[in-house]
Amino acid sequence: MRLLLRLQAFLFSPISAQGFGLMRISWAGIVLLIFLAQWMDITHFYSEQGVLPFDYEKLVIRNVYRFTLLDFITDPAAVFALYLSFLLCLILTMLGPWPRLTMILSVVLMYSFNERNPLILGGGDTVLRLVGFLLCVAPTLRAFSLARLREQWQHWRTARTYLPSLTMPLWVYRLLLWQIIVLYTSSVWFKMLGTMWENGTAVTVALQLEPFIRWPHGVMAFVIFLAPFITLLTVAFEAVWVLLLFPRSFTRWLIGWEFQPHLKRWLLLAGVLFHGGIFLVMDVGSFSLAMLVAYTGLLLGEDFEAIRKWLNAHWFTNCFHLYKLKTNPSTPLRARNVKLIQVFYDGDCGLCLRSIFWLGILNNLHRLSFLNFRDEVLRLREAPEIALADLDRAMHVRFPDDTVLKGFDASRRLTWHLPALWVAAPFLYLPGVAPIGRRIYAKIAARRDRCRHEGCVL
Amino acid sequence: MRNIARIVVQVLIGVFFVWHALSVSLYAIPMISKDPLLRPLRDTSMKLIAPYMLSLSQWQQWNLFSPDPLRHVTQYRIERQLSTGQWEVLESLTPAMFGPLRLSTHFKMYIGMLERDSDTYRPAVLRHFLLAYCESHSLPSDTPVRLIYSRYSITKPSSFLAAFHADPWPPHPQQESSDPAFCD
Repeated sequence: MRLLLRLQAFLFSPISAQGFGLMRISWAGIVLLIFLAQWMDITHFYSEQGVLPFDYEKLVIRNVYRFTLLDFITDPAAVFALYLSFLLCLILTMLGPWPRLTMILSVVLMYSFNERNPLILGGGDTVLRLVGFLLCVAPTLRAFSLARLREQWQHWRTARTYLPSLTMPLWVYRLLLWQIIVLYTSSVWFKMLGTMWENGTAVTVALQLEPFIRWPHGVMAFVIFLAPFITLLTVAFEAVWVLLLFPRSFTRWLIGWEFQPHLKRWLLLAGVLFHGGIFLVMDVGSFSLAMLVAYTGLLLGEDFEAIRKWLNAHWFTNCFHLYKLKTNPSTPLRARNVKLIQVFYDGDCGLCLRSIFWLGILNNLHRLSFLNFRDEVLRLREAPEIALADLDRAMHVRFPDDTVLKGFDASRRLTWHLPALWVAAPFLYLPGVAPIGRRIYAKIAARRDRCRHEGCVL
Repeated sequence: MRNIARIVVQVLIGVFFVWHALSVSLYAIPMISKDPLLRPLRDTSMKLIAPYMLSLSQWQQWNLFSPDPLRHVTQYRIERQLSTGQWEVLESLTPAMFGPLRLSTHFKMYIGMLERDSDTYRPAVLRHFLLAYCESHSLPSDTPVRLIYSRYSITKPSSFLAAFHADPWPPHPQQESSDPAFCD
């Protein structure tokens, strides 16, 4: 009975579904990029009038246990139409209005293109196929999706709170981890069947392989000097992954320490540097990007929390003590020396409430606190120096350095604290953007009393 | 009733978990390995796992730059023979032809289709590849068309210390020709 319970915990303990949600988005994004790059070659690679017509395809590719829609769709125009449908499917998979359906369609189409012409495939395409399959069978794909956003909005409208983070059973995460360990272990095995990886000379040769190197020979000569060390480090990096197979309970019993979470994070970081380095130096197709996609699926709730803490430690000294407050809850937040970003909003305004909903959704670093200035007691306690009339004209935000900004300027500075908007943040500082942004904000703010939750007529 | 259904689902998931993990592990065993235990195990289990792995496109062999990295670099040239007997270049397949996002895809295809030591090389496929140039360049029938391999090999460093130095540059490629194909 105890064994059954342990087996059940091994496979079905709940974990955060966010890692797989991110993996869904990054998988679709990378596959989209790869197939967009083939825009000019689609009919050449995959149609009957291309480089591998059906009669020749049979000579080169296995004929058993192989399924591809492109054995039935052969006309160049039809193949291109299918390709465009595939691109659309991938975009929808990233956005996630119907995550499961679009994921399965995307995988079926990707497999069809891959099986039609395997001659152009590399290790990266294999990784993406394997990850795609696991995404198809994953218990939930709704994290970071429009489908989940709909659910959050419906809940927030009535309860003014967010739904708890999505969870899923552990088994599909374990399959992904197992696949990555098999990948690296098998790779080490293959390397040991030759001689050059053993004696430290393999990377030296690989870095001279035109047309796969990205940089001129003079630049590569400098990197080649480091190649012997890179050779040995590569084998060591791939071999160490097998240590993640040790159960935490076993290492806790043996050495008194559960090293697996720390080792996994260090391996992920090393992997980003390793595969990122390969990507910078060599063109080996999609392998580097595909491995980074697989890594996102290995992120658990504890990993997101560790990333959040690490990022916040640079901006806040006391933020992580928020949950351990020992002072009187009625003491103003500033007096507690807890440095959160305070966002003052109009609780009677529909548009404002909708904006706060979005800020809460994007508040992945948990740096924002939201204060309804219509609550007189709260307003006098937290922002006694700001007049009610001023608060009513624009959203005010107080930052940890006690700077108070309002309107567009406040929104612009907030983007640096919302990871999903980091990409857009620099553009808001381009010349000319601020004056336009302030005017638009002022116009919207002046008309906001026309907005309710259900609709907005500005 | 609900509990029984939940247990049945969990058992099925458990069976799938074991089956998939085992299939992936066995399929990833290097095909070229001569291990006396694991290689026969892979070969024997293929009858059972190959239909599953191949049908779901889960095939995998992790031999990128392994066992040893590729050591020859080839550029390709398609030539046609003029009535004077001389050969004229129709197209050179060089890295400069392709942008960074298309380069590796095309060269992987050329290696698979055109290199005689590749598992997927077939003379008929090479012939079809060459004859496509007859059509695209409107060549008269019976015009010979051939593929020229311009190839150089990277010296295998003799030791760990020798690996700190790259080969002298530029290399000196050797030329090799395919059998000609005749335009229809």
